[in-house]
Amino acid sequence: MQKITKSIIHVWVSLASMAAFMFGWAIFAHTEKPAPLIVQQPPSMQLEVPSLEPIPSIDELVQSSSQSMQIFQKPASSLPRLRARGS
Amino acid sequence: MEFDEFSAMNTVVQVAAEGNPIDLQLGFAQVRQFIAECEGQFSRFLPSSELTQLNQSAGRWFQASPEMFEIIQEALDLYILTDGLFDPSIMNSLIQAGYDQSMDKLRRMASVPIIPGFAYKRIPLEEILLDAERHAIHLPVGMQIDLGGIAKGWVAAKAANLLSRYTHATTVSVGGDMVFVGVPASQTTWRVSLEDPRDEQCMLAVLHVGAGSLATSTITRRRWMQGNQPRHHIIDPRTGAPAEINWLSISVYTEKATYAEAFAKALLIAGPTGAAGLATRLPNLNFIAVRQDGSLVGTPASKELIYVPGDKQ
Repeated sequence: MQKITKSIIHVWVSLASMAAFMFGWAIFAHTEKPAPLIVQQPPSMQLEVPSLEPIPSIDELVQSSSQSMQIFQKPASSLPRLRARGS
Repeated sequence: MEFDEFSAMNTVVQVAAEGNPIDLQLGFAQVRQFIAECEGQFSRFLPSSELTQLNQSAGRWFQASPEMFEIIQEALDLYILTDGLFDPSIMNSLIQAGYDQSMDKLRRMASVPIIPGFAYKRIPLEEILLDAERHAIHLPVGMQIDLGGIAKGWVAAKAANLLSRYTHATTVSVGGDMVFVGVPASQTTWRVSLEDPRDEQCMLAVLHVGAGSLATSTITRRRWMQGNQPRHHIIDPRTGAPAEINWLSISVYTEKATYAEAFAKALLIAGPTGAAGLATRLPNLNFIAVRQDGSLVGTPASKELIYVPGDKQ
């Protein structure tokens, strides 16, 4: 008798667990899905990487301007005394 | 315009200012004295300097001067801002590469010996501890600091500030680090020759800049031979060896001298592939790089720095 009662309880617990699981699964499956956790930066926050551009050198400036010829054909001492020199 | 030029901190210092010559001579003398004091404080080649003492204290707290504390604090900020491409803790690598004495002495040597058995182990700069209340610095064991360029930028800014008591327009250049305060009365900008890194007698462009800082970093000036290998002083902190540099030099123009200096080094290491992106980290930063063939390349707005003959500027 005790053995039968034990078996019934086992079956009942198993069925109840399964039913509870199915019920929970059904509830969660039908609820609204949360928004994805991807934060979109506003356009103003997105940094664009600028491309590097060629810059005219003295020689090119000399070729493109007759006035510059007059300036740069002077001796080097006429160029600014201050120098951007690396170290 | 009054000029002064002298050697200090293992480099050339240029000072220019507009104003009463007698006042300016007094200002120039103060600048010379100030820079001599700074050299005694920040040189890694002087056994008695504060920097040498700081390096010797690695592993314990060091009571620093306010000036040293300020520079180390800025170095930490710049290390983060440049993703670690600017890193003053590369001193062991410099020594390994043979830069263990002043450049003046190094240049007189045909070649320095190779030091065997060096394994580079990078210690993150974040491991430096700072106590702002006590002005105390704690370097982790094994870390050695070389303030080289950042100290020059810092010194140039302080010296220019010192001179600004005597003039409305002054510029101070310490090595490659130039600081501009105000502009000369008859002009709207300062004009600066951009030296050709391949030949210091030649100029590649004339830049015109307003108040701010212009730092130039190059691999062609501080060079030496180690064994039969050519070496330069720009160490890539990621490898601990002299960086493989694509550009010959880079000039960075921005507000603050220490930032211009640190970014010049970091951008030179980042090279053509990484420099444009890195430059966006700092608002109002523009740079001009010199390629191997002497042509110039830079941020789009850097074209505005080039003086075009015939302009009213």
